[in-house]
Amino acid sequence: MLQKFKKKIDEKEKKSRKVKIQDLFIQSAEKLEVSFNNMTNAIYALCDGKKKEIKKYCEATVIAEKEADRIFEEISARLFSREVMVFSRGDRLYIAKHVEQVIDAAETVARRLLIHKPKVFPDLSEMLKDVAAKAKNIGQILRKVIVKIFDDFDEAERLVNQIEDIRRDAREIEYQFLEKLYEFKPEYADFIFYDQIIKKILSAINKAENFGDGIRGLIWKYRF
Amino acid sequence: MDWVIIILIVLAFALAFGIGSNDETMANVVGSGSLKLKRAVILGGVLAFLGVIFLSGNVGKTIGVSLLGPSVNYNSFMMIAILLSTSIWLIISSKTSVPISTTHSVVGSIFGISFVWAISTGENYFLSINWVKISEVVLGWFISPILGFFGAIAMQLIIKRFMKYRSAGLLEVESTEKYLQYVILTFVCINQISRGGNDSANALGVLIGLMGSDNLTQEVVTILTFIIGLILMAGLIFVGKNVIKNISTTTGKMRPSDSLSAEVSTSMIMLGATILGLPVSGSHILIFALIGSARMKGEKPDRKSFRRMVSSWFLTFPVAAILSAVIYFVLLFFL
Repeated sequence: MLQKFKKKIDEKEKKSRKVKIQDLFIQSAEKLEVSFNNMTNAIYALCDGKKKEIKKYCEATVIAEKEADRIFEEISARLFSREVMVFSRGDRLYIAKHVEQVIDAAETVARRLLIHKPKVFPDLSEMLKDVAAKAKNIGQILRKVIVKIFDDFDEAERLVNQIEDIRRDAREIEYQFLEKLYEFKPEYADFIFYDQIIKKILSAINKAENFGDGIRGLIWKYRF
Repeated sequence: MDWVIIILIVLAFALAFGIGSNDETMANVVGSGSLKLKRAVILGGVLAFLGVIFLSGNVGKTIGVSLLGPSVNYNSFMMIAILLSTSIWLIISSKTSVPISTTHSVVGSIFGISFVWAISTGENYFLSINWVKISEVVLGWFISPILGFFGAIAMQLIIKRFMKYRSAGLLEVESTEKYLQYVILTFVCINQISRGGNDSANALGVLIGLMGSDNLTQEVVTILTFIIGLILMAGLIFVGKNVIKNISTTTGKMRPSDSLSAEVSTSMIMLGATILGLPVSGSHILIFALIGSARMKGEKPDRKSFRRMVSSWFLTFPVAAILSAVIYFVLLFFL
């Protein structure tokens, strides 16, 4: 029985080792989308005053980040084998590293959400939901960009341009949000919380946009 | 066998080892990951050996027989002067890290000894050199890098066109580049055989020049060719591997599609020159081909390094000529 179990584990390990490095990039892109989705859902829960759901989604974001870390480690370890051509190793590492950094930014938002439960202001909540929706959209597009850079440069570039447009809209909402925040003048702790949370969400969005810019550079580098 | 001949053979062996030690032809395949260093140097060594055995004849004859005028006969001291001056200049340039050509050095040295020979015998200097042959050789030095430059540009245009339809995404780019790696490997092998034949002629030429005299029969030269091939191979495998390793860290960053144009251009020119019996510098052709390839992408070479390289290239001939003239002049007192 024990031997059968051991054999099964060995087979599973063997199988996992056979995962193509390409699939690892796809997996990390999926984790990026999942973490942005969970971060957005946590913000929605905060705005709707659903405390239990905040915790649930924030924890899911942290788990996604941990899994992404594991994938990044595996990619890094395999990147310098014969699996990947020498000239593109640096660029693949760039992609893997930046996916991880964008996910880290989403995780920072999630961890902040767990620290404090502020008073909910409907006007601020609407704007916060708008920004969160933009972040979710960027996460979805960024996943597609990472998939597309491997097989369709034109489509990847078109998607990167979309990210830029969404980020611009998100920045506008951020300033409107801050304006409203100064208008409302909530309690000190709530003020700091809202000020920080909008900045952290924008930081995640900016990181995603910068990553998109970097991918555009790679497209220009590799496209003849 | 005369002790002078033994010294000469030892010097020729040392030069062959030095030539093998400085052969960087396989750097590209190591850098791009096509072959591991160990396999690459062994393959390079074997190919260089084959080049020495099968392709060194014509270039060897040019250096050893055709460059001097009909009234001049090589003697052992002349050959010692040529080999010593070449070795000294190679050591000096190695210390300053400037790539110089053994071929330019050997031909410059021949120029120097013929000058001293004319003075010492009272003969007309203009009759001591085969000016037609030396003009062909020198013209080859100028034409071969230029051909390398334009050949690489032409190849780059073709490759760019080819890649345009095979670069939809990173995966397709990588798989096409992987395919090009094997194409490069083929041309690097051609280049290595040609370089083995062309470069070894510098060491072998002096022995071919003495063939028929001083106990150096055809059979002895054939055996020496075989030994020089083995020594050159040893130089490449045991010392050249460090040069290949160092250069491969730079060339490895290049995409195969970028270096292919330079490799095709260099290998074809080297092969053509070797078959025609023209001693040329593989390093110079490769450098100019790389510059041509880079120019097509809008990149410019570092001016300072380029100027240093070209000036050392122009300096080699006169410096080697002066060195060999001085050495031969001193050796004449032993005659």
